Amino acid sequence: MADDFIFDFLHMEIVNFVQRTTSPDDKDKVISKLEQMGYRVGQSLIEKFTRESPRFSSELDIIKFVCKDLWNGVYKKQVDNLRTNHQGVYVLQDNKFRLLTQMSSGKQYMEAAPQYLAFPCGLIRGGLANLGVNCVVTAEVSTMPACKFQVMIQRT
Amino acid sequence: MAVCVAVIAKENYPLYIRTIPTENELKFHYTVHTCLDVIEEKVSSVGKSSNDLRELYLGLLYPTEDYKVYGYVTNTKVKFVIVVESSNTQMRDNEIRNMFKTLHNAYVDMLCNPFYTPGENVKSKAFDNTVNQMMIQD
Amino acid sequence: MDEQEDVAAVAAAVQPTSPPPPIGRPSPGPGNLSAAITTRPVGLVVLTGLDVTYNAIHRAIWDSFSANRRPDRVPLNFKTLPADHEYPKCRSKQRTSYEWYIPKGILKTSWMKKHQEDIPGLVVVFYDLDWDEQQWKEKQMECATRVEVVRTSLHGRGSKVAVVLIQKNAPLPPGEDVVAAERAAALCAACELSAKSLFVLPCVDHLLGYTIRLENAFYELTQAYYHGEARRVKAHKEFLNKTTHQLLFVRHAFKVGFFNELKQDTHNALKQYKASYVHLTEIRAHDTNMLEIKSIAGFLNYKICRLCFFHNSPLDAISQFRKHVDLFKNKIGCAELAFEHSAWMSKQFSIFGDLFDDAIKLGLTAIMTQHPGFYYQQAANHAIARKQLCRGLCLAATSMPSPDPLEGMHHLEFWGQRPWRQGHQSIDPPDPQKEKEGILALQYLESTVDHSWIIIPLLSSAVAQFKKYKSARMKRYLMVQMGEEYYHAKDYSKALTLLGRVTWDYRLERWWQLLTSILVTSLRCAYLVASVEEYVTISLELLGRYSQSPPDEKTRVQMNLVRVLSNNPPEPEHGCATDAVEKAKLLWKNKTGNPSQDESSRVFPIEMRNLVPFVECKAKFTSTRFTADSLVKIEVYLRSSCQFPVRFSRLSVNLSNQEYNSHCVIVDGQPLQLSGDTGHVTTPNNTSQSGDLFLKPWEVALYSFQFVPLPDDIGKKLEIASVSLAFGDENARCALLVWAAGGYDAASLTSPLESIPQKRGPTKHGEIDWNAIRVEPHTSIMCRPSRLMIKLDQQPPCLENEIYHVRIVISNEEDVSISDASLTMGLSEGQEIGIEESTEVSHDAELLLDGKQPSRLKGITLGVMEAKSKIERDLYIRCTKLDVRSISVRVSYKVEVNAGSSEGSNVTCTCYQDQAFRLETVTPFDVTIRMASLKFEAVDQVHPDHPFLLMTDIKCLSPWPITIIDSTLILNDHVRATDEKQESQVAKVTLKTSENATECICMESQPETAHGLISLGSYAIEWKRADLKLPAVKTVLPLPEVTLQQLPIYITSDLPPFGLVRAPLLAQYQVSNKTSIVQSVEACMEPSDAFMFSGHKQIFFRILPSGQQTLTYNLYPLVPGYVKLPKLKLKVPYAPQFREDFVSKILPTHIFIKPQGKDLAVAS
Repeated sequence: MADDFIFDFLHMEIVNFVQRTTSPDDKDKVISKLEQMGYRVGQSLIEKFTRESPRFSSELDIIKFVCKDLWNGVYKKQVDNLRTNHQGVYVLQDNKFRLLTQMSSGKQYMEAAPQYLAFPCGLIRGGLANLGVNCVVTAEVSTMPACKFQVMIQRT
Repeated sequence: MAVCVAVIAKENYPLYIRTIPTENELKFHYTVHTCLDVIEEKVSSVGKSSNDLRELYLGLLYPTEDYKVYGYVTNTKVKFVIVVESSNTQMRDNEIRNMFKTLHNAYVDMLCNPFYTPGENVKSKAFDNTVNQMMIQD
Repeated sequence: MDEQEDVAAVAAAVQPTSPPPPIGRPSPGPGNLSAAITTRPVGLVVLTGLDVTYNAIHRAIWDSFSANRRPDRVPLNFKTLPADHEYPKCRSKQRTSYEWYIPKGILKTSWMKKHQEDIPGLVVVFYDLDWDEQQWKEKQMECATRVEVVRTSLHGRGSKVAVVLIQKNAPLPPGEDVVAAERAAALCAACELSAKSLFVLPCVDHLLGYTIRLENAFYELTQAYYHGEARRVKAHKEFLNKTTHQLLFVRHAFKVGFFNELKQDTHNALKQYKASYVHLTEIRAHDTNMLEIKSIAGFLNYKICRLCFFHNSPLDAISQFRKHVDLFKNKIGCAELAFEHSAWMSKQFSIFGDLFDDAIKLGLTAIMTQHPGFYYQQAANHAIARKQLCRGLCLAATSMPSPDPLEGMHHLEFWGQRPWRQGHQSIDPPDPQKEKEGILALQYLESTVDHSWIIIPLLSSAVAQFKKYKSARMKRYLMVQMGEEYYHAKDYSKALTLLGRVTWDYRLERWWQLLTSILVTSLRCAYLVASVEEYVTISLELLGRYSQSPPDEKTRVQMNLVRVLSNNPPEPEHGCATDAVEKAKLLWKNKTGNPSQDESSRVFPIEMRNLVPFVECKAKFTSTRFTADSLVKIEVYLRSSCQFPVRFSRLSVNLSNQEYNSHCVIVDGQPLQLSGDTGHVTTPNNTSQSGDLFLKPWEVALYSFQFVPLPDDIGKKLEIASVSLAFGDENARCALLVWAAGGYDAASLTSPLESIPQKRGPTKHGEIDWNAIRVEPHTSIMCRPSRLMIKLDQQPPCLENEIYHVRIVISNEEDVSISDASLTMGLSEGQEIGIEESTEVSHDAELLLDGKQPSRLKGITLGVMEAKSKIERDLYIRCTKLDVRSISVRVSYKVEVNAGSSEGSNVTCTCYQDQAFRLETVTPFDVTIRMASLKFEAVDQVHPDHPFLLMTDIKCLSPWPITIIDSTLILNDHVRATDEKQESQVAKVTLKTSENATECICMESQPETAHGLISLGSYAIEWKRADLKLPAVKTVLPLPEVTLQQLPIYITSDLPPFGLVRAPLLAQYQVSNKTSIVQSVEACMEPSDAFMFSGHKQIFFRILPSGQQTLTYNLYPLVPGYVKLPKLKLKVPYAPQFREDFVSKILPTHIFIKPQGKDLAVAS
């Protein structure tokens, strides 16, 4: 039971710490620091999570893994909705995103949302990067605690 | 048992290569390096043909006169290679598979070391011990 | 990609150009296959009786048999021989018992060749004979004699004999030529020939057609012969026993197989060969017969594999080959001749590779993990093993023993036997001394073999295969092996080239262990060919941070490198052949003795992005932008990773603008080697700094450069093109290490790690994280920021059409005076064309009234401004269209400032101060123009001679009060104002926001003007802002259009302004005819409750053209108030356009009736 919350609390403290230790006029820096942390965590985490899973046959297969297994492992639930344009853009919708549920339900604290979503974005990006899918991940909130993560695959 | 165990990074450079004490250690390096051709071919064919190889264990890559080279690729494209002497005929496929599983677990545990930067050469004692177990001659 | 192709090209070029190896003497070599085994066995047919030299017909016949043997023709081999040719003798008496027979070997060397080339399956006797021959008897006899001769020369062999009669006449259809049938039978009898063996060849057209039919018949005959032979050999089996005749089992099965092959029965052949192979493996192998067994095994394996491929079962071929190799790989035989075994193994693999490759050429598909390349590679490996074994075993064999024990080794009776003990089958050699000498002789022979020229072509074949099957890494490995082999073959420059081509890929994939080992070999080659440039380049990398060489080795390399760059010869590399080292020493001596006068060979650049050198460089601009009045700063970080400290001679940064390069040089005056001779110190020239370029291992050294940017570079990007570090003495020998774009070598370009600055774990005290230093090769040179103040004094918004005043106040906040100040003001660039056209700017308000002015003013000279002074300028803008405009103001000026700290570094900077503002234009007032009848009712049409009212309503919308100076009506010819004198009713009126001013003018349209829609003219208002002394502007508005309508009947009324209750009042209506015809009118007065009246209630009358009729009524009001008049109705039957309601529109409908004043009544 308790371990359900450890990550939540730790994440709050991380966000707080990064905000406090970065100069206030450098808001982007806060985001990018948190994103970097998420990236590194995602990178390592995916090694553990994919240990038992069979080889992925396609990009979609990988994204599905993120929606189900990775989400379940980190947030104890699955992504509610996955949409794609089949051209390298995936939208992962979580109607009750764990890291936002304790914050607000509605429009309040909207401007604080990006700081709390930077780490999860990095987590997705790091995980996918380690699986060989290079992408840009952005988050969008219209009403808390619902949240949309947009994954844009970078093909080179 | 194994005469050479190697871990190759996603970008195909060696993270860890251990061989039995031999004069021609370099030959094992070349053996491991050249088998990447086959590994890449096998991994890239996943999803293309109907009889997919969905298992992480790739099986026998190719036999040479003296050695059998087996491969295993994680979902994150980290490659494990185990070289066994061709004369060693009592090694079953399942044993090799289990060796790879053990190796994979040891590798993932090693990643959790806070002092390890992903992409660095592996210098972990615990990992060494696991590999040693595989290389003991019986 | 190109690199790949290049490498392949080199590999390919290497293969054919290698000269044929100078092997001691042509040797059959262990495992070599003779042509007898490799050529496909086909039946032999001997043609006799053909005179191909003198007889044209015979020649043609021979050609038709021998030439153009395509695969669709039967597989036969034809030969012409004289009729009396002696064929190899057959054993006179067939053996009936093998009881006492001890075979001397497995297979005679001559046997296969004999059956392929000497013993025919069929002998054909050609004979010119027509059926109608005159001297038939004689000819028949001669023919029979010839057949007899052939039979005799065959010595009782079972070869078939056939006769072909060459005839001049075309044959008759069968059965019709009785003579022919008779004579044919006679001839057969005479020649003791079956009828099936007699043929006729008419020498007419279609020779080839006859030939093909003939050869098909021949083919059948040979098949029968070989079938018989096979059965004959098979029959021997009964007499054999397993103990003494093991060799014969092998031999006979082989022979049966071979006969079957001659018969083209490949399936039976394969069966027999396989059986033979099994028999062979049952033979007890020992050192004396090992070579023989392996030789025959090689033959059989070849035959089996080839037939398997032929039968399209490649997997069988492969498994046979694997079995074969597994069976024999440990059967080395005589230990002293172990190289012979490796040679044999190598041959087995290369032969199989060739077979496999041939099958692929015929359509077999191979895969990445199973293709001929693997076999060639293995062949090469065995060849390498052979070479190593030879090294170990053949040292003692320095000369050929005499007498030569190998005498006759090319004319052995049995395959795979030793020349000095042929036919000997016992386990122990018969003569130990001879055996010893024989081995020595073979060892000597082996020592004369140049193995490299066996190995290299094999590797080359393998390279081609692995390239084909997309195994780039394996191909690369083979190329490394090839390079090493060239090295062993002492072709050092080729080795160097080949190895140089593959290092890039190993570097790119970061296999440092492999790279290091290649570089070690390359360094040796570079030393041995005394290539300074290569030597230095390789050394740089061998000392590099990823080099896996042990420290003492690195130390040695570094010392040698310093020697070379000090223009001294290096110490020889370890492990090189002594004779090559001696040669190299001489080469180096020649190179170092006299420094070249040619600078290009003295100073050679080395691109660092192609290797991982021992010194790393990171250069950066300290900022991404520098202003024109500041110093541009560059920092260069260097770090060396070699064993002991190293000194460089010169560090220079090359920038995209080379003018600065002289500022970015550091020269270290110290010599490279700290020896006694210190007199050789170069004096730095004026522009360069002198400094210490002495790098200690793993210590980061920082060098800074700074310079003043050139005015021309303002607004441009400045880049570090390269950083170069000179190593050595530029007057003697010097390597120029060049990093393009300020850093990055091959490792930092490819490594994912080196691009991540983060490192895990606690930081050590004082540690500079090298990875955290970012290379920053770009910067921009910006203008010096201006210190002028621009203040704008204006009263926005701008009113449409007005002359808008902007006062620009410029104050110089610089500490010094400025010069060449100039002002540009106007519409910002890049706005819509409509805005561009509707905006005018001028410094003189009056000019704006006169005509078109430009939308921006450029270069208004302000001149010199003293420090802290101010300048004011008035500018006027006129916007003739509503919109929001972006207006910009820019002041440029020059100022002399001091850049940096040193005096004399004054620079004149051009600075710009920009200010832009958005100017909104609004409507000053809104004008509504209406028309009304004299009753003030809105009308949209007017009638000639009938006056109407024009009302203008000006509503002020401006936030600022405006004054209307004047207003004028500019009327068209159709209308005129009824007043004689027109004066503006709103002149001098000042309106505040939302206030209105209205004019009302009475107008009348001119008679006889066209009817329809006419425009009245325009209305001009002259106005300005109330509180500003600016010229007034005139805004002209169009007047509305009205419909002018002609009427046939016109009516006017004449009524008093009011009436009194119960006091009569006179009402007169004049009806006039406006048409040119007589109009009859019916007028009718409707009764009303408010009035009593006298006059015609209803009347008909006529009016002449332009005439008039007056209707008069006396009205007697009954009630007071604003009461409705009795309604007059007119009907004009002859003017259809006349509408009845027109009357009510024109005539007043009501009248005010006053009540009867009581006082008044009393008074009256």
